[in-house]
Amino acid sequence: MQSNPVSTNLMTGFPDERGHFGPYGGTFVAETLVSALEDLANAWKQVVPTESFQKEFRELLESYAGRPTRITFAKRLTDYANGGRIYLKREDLLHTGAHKINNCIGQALLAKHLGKRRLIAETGAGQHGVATATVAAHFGMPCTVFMGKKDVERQRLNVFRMRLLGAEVRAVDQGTQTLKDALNEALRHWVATVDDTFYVIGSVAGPHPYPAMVRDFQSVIGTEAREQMLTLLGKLPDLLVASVGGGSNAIGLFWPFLNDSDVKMIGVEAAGTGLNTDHHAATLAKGRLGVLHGTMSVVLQDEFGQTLPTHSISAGLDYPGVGPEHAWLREQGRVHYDTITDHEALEAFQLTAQREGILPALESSHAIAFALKAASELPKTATVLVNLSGRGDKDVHTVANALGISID
Amino acid sequence: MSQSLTNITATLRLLATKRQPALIPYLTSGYPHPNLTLPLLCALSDAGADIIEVGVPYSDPTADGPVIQQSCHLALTHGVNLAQTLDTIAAFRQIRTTPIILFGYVNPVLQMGYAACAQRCKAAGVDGLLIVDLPLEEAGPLRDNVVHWGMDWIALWTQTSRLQRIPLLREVATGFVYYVSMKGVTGSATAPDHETIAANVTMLRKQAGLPVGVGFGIRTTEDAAIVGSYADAVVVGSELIRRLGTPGDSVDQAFRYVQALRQALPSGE
Repeated sequence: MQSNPVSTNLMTGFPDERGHFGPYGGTFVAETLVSALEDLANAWKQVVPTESFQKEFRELLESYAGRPTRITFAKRLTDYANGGRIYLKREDLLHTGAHKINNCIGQALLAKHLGKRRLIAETGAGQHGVATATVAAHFGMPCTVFMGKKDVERQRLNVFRMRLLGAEVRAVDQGTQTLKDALNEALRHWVATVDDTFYVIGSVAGPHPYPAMVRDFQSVIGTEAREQMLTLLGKLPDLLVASVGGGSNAIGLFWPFLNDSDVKMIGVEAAGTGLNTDHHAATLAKGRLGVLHGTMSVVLQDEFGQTLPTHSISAGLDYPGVGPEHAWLREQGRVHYDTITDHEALEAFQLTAQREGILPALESSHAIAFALKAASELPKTATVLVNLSGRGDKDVHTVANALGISID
Repeated sequence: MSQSLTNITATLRLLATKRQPALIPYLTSGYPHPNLTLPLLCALSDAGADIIEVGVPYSDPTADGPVIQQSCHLALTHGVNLAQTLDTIAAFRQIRTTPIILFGYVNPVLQMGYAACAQRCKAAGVDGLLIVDLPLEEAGPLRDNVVHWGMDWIALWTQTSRLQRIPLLREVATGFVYYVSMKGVTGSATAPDHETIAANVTMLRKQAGLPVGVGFGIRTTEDAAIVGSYADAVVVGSELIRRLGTPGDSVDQAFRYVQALRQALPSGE
């Protein structure tokens, strides 16, 4: 056995049989879905680890998604921070432009193994919807994407993209008409169609086995990065930084490093217009223990247990819940969480564009903004690895608006 | 263990001796207006409801269809919450004896605290709880508090539930089992397949050793009459809420609708 200085081995034994990470996780769903989730959990445990599944998964990640993704040394951001060396894990170079495709390929493959004929998904800004619609087209499966009515109006380009890919986009006009309501509606639809339909959840949220399953599909990010950094530097990075909405890109990067006790990890939540305002999506910073979308985790809610509206300039971080494993890793003291405001993220977006020739997604810009601050306080020998989880082409309208520039 | 019968069990047993199914209407607390909840509960009771389900409004009701979602949404805009719902039930308990089932989602209960919620439910005169997103596997901590206070834990069973879980159902459920008669959310439009449902109800009654109520998708007096011929209880939710949302005197509408359902159900004679 490999020596393990971390007191609890966080990479084995979590979640437990029923999907609990300590007090977090579990299966808080209507009875109709219990059997489908049980089948899914069995498939995750029994099918996913098989050599044939892994081979097919790897091949698709390579030939279709474009893995492995590169590590780029961000020289001019490093100069700017004037401290630790900043490296970027380039998930932005994947097909469809973000890490989301890793998970979609994994789940679509699993859907095939379970004999499900169609895919459904929820989406906020549309990135996970586009990734699911893409994979559905590739596999020849019908696909329905649920999207809040407000998001449909705000993200017309992605709606059209999904339709071009052959998906049906359903506008959800319930509740706040955003991501959380899209997820509600997808769950409702799934209850009625569970016999032939596979629900592709886009983050490490939702009922068991989704948090653990999505983590496993996304952990290819960290597995690759760990090897690449060892090859590149002969040592592991000192600090990992990733943005956290639901938390799939962060878990994907962090998980393979959990037992490397010298590697620090920071998940960065969206502070919106500030943690002292009502306009943020900093769930771990400002939320309390609660149940949302089938899992026990930390939830942004009022004193009566009603979910609060959230805000972030980055649609991908604009979610009132967070994956249960993040809540657990924070409680274990293994991962720390911090926040970055809209303003700071926007600044990092522009800096990365101008100093590296890379447009980062606004989600990833939160991670970069934090990494710049952290690097500036580190010695020049230290290394910081940032998960550049997606590209920012999708965000140019938002950025233009925020800068008060009209590009229409 | 020689515990006295719960009000729900006593009610169902008495009806069974008369070969009558129980009629269980559902009402969202605070819909269409918080001032109407108490008069509506009285109207349901007076019109012949044997048990009443009172829904606690929640921001993310994933098991409910559009009608009940909108009722929750409206009730929330009126500031209705769990504590206030319990106050209304306590006021109702002063003037009527009809057993009450508190229906809702786990998060508002979790925020009050499982033990505190169970105790306050008991004090308010609640007779049972049905928490739709606490399946048998997750029910434990709250369920034990509820049963400790002599209230019933109403568990759901569906067409997709597997027979291997019957032992767990027997362990967890008390009072009666609520059989969800269709795949879908509350108020779905599909017509019930009575032959299949009736067979499942018979099986479930025997396997679970408890009475079986049927809900989801029952609208007309004809539906209710057929379901009432094979089930121990008939639950009507979305259709009542839908009627309350139409113009007119909602208390009167509720009374007439529930009275018509009552008259349509087998009378036992």
